[in-house]
Amino acid sequence: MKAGSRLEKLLNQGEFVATAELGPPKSADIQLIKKKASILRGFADAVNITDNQTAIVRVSSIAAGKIALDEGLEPIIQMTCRDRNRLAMQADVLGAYVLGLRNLLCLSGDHQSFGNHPQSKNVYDLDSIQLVQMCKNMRDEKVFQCGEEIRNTKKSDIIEPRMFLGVASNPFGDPFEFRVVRLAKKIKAGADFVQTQCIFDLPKFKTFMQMVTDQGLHEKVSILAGVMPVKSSKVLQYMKNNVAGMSIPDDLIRRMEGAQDAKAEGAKICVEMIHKMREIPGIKGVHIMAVEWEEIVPTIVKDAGLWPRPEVAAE
Amino acid sequence: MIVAEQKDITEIVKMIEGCQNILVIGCDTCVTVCLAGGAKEVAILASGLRLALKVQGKEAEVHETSIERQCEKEFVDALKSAVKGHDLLISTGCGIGVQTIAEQFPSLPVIPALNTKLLGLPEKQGVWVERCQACGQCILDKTGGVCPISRCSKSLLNGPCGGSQNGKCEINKDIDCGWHLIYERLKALNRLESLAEIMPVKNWSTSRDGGPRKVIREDMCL
Amino acid sequence: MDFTPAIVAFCCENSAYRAADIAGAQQEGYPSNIRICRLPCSGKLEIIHILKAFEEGADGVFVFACHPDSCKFLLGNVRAGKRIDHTSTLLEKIGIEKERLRFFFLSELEWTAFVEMVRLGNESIRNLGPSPVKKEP
Repeated sequence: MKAGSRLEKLLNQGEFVATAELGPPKSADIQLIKKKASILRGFADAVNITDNQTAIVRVSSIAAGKIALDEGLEPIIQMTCRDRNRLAMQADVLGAYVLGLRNLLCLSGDHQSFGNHPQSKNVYDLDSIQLVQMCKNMRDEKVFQCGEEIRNTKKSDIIEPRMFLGVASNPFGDPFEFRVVRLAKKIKAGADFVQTQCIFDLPKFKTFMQMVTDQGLHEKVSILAGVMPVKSSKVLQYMKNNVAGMSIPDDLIRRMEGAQDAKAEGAKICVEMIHKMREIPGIKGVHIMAVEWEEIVPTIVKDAGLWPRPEVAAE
Repeated sequence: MIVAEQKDITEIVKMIEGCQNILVIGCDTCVTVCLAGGAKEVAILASGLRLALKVQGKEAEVHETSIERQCEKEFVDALKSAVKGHDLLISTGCGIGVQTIAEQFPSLPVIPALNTKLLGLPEKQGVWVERCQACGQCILDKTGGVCPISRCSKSLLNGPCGGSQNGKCEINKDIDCGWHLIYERLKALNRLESLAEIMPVKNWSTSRDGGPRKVIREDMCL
Repeated sequence: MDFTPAIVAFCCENSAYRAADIAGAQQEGYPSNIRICRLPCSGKLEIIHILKAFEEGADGVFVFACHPDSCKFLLGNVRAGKRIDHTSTLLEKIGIEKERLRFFFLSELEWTAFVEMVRLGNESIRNLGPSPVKKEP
């Protein structure tokens, strides 16, 4: 057992896992975090707590994660490379571990020009692959990035932070043929699980997964397929035009346009996608990205036949 | 080369408020080549300032000169007599030039007419693009001659990130994805396997992050 | 307004300069406050020439170039156009109305058009009044 997190245990048990997302508030609104946590509790095996997503300032992932943990969720802390140097990153990993958090998703992070503070200084001391490697070394080699052992003094015990490490993967970025090589690199660096970008283009994703399974990568890492319920065709159109690394088929947009109840249709499409993901070899679970729509997750999880969530087997 | 761009003239007009005897000093090297601060641009700026002052109903003299390079103390020193009698110096050199003039003539205020923007080259006439960050640890041998520090918006060493699409960077469609270029270059050189290796964490202490830098050639110091 | 503007007209010798010649030889002629400055090509015009004209007391500056795609030196009129755009913006920031700088296309045969352009241009500069550069301190 690497970190002993609930997510890790369920994957080891061979369960088809379901993770979700909780977006922290843009103010010091502790009640909203608790509210979102209560909506998701029992419907996901672990919940990503986003980290200044799209470079917009929100309550930090670790802070919101601790509150979510106290509310009965299993958080997956997200850490971007955009806002922190290696000192802050390692301090945050120690801090997260000390607070009881056990899952960490390592991301490059959207460039700050996307968000509400485009004039800020850009950090990117490390990239996401180096971050995973650093966290893996903290856990397994029990050393900091500088090589020092993780102990208070030469005589103290080594107390290393043990995180279950995740990375993101975008099957639709370019160059397409390089995406699998990059995934392999992330696995080599120490990724334990992967959450893909949300998938709308099933054929292209299947091609990607074929390349992944051909190389046996699905056996080295647990791949969770990203799915996203959308509220309207406008959202899909926006993503198609403005969000880099998205592949959205036009007939999906048309289907949403023609729907009587767009939200219900969006949730239905998501459920269909989940069913399809269960049939793709190499997929060990789904990651439900109901961005700012946490309320829909219970419906989706139930309709997709994923409720109730499994229990961790007794030791 | 160093590429700079002239500040908005309204900004410069504000900076010269209250001064009566101004000398605009140009530089014949980098800023001439990037059409920002050479003798030609000095003449235009000086004329523009004279016109602006007249329109404001103010009296002031604006003189012009230019030297070979503002980043050489000897060349700047040669301006000793030229600067006499002026109450403000305007440098149309890069930041280095402005500071060298300030160091050589500490009792005279000197202001920058330019914003020094980048180390780069002309992509085509009138367009200059960034190529180097002077990080102090060149790895161009590993990346097929394309610099990830300056050409990747996130300075990733193990790129591209998920936002690379059609060879363009997610932050702006006019910016090429640096890692896409590296990929294509290594492909052409038959060295794609090197991209499967993880590039280790960068030592940023050789770049400006480590503090102001110095380069010394001992054999040249007398 | 009752004043005679001082106007400098930069004329490409392949077109406007010849047209001006013909116009000048006619009985009507063209306003005498227009000072013609001959260029081998409109592309020879530099930004500093325009600024110097205003420094020397011009109330208006006209530039005459050959019609698009008719430049004997291929891109001279394109260069002139770009420099004039740049200078217009500069003039505005300095506090000089950009309407004081005018750009016209002309061929050597169009001497009547030359007269018309100059006359209308002259009127518009007269309406603008003396250049703000001439303001008493």
